[in-house]
Amino acid sequence: MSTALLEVDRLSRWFHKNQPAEVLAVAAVSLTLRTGDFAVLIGANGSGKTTLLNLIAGSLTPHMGSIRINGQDITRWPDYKRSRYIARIFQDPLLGTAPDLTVLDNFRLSYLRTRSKTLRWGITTGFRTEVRDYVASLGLGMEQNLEKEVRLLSGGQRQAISLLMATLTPPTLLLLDEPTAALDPRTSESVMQLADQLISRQRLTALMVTHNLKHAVQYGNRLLVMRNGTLAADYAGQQKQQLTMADLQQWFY
Amino acid sequence: MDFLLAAMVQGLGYSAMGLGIYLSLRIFQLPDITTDGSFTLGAAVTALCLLNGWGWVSAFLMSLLAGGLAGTATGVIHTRLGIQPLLAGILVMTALYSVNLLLMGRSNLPVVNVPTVSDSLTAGVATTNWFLVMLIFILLLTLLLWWLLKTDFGIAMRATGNSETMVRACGVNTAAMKTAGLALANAYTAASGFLICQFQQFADINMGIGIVILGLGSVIIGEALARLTGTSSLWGRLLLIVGGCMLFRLLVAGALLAGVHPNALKALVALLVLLVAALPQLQKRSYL
Repeated sequence: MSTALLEVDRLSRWFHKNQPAEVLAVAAVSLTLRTGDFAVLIGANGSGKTTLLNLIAGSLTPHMGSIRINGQDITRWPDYKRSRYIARIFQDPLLGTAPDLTVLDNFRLSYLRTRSKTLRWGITTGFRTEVRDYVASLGLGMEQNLEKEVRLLSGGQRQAISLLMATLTPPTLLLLDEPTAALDPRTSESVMQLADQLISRQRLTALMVTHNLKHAVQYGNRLLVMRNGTLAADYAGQQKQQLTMADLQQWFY
Repeated sequence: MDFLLAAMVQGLGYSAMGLGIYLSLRIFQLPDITTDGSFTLGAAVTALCLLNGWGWVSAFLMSLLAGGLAGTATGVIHTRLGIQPLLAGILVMTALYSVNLLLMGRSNLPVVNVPTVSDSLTAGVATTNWFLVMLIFILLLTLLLWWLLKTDFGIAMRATGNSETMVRACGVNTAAMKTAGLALANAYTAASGFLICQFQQFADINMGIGIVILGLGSVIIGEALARLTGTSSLWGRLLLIVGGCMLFRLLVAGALLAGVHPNALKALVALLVLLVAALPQLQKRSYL
């Protein structure tokens, strides 16, 4: 029996609080992800899904409610401290990597996500081999690019690298914020397949925000819908398997 | 000839500041002009230590510490109080003017008749000796910076100025990291103050005014040299900044030799830096 990994309890976040333009972006949302869940979160623009993701990641602080990972309360933790448990994939491939550093440097930094950054030379032959083998195991031919600066890679390659970086040390929770929104349709498919492959191979717990309804139907074992800052639907198991894109359209009208 | 050699020695002495500016401006993308104050601070602390018979090793460590504290102040003002880096630097630089005056007790402090770092070597005439002493110091400081930037901590430093969102997601406290970077940058600047104060045998309250242009110029000339020679390694780029600083001082000395009036010097320096900085854009335009 799988256990509760992420527990979001009555989480609320306003924008422009106490001003005329006040918006309640996330309104008392409660959500539990169990170990191994791959939840896809959809919703119209302004429904609060990205805000919810940012609250879980720690780039935003909630005004009310709490967040627990593996039973530990992380509500007040800054984002850089949450990296111990959480890895993130950003919508903009530029945000998820350091463009002027080499691919290997980027891998090293994400390897250090759960560790302290000490005064030692971490890029050793052993580390290089570990990264090369890991990258090669996915058969993308990307192991040729390790010494290249990331800015020389295409958006799709960068997003694939981001995924590999995030999973080099398997995170407790993987957050994906519209990971394919900036990519062309074909690259978008291959990046999603890679994400799915990594998530299932390492049995990761993941939460992905997307606008792509095809991906929402195709991937994950749970589907969450947000509307006006609240969780309007939560499909799991059999129910999720039988969903069609037409079923999801209703949430956007 | 001795005039040009002296210019090269000075160039070497100032190049630690060039490395400091490279760190703040290029690695962290923070325009920091605490420099003017922390350079004089390094010189003032050095003068005080030497005049009190502390020896150059203590003087060196104390000036690094003082520079580091100045950089920390700028870093804390920027990251914790949300002040723009340029303004944070100006604030600390301004305050340092008073600090330096208080430390020195007067506006000019001669450093004569005390053993200095150049006495640790006795090779040939004074200027040649100074050249070697500075060369050893600068090579060690360059090596240290290079080594540091290659460590895990250094990768986090380099990424902080490059992709802040990503490094935070990788568990780096970027505010603390920027503060550490500014501290280190200003410790390097103070190291220049340490060297130059002893070379010219005095610390002066005005010795740092406008000095930041020399640091910026070194970085920009160093980068132009790196483009020209196709140097991409970190080690090579750091050495070219040192070279850039020496070239800068040589050009200034050359201009004086060629009869440029000393009053016109600052304008000339500004033009020189502008020219080198604008070079990539000028080249691009001429190909259109």
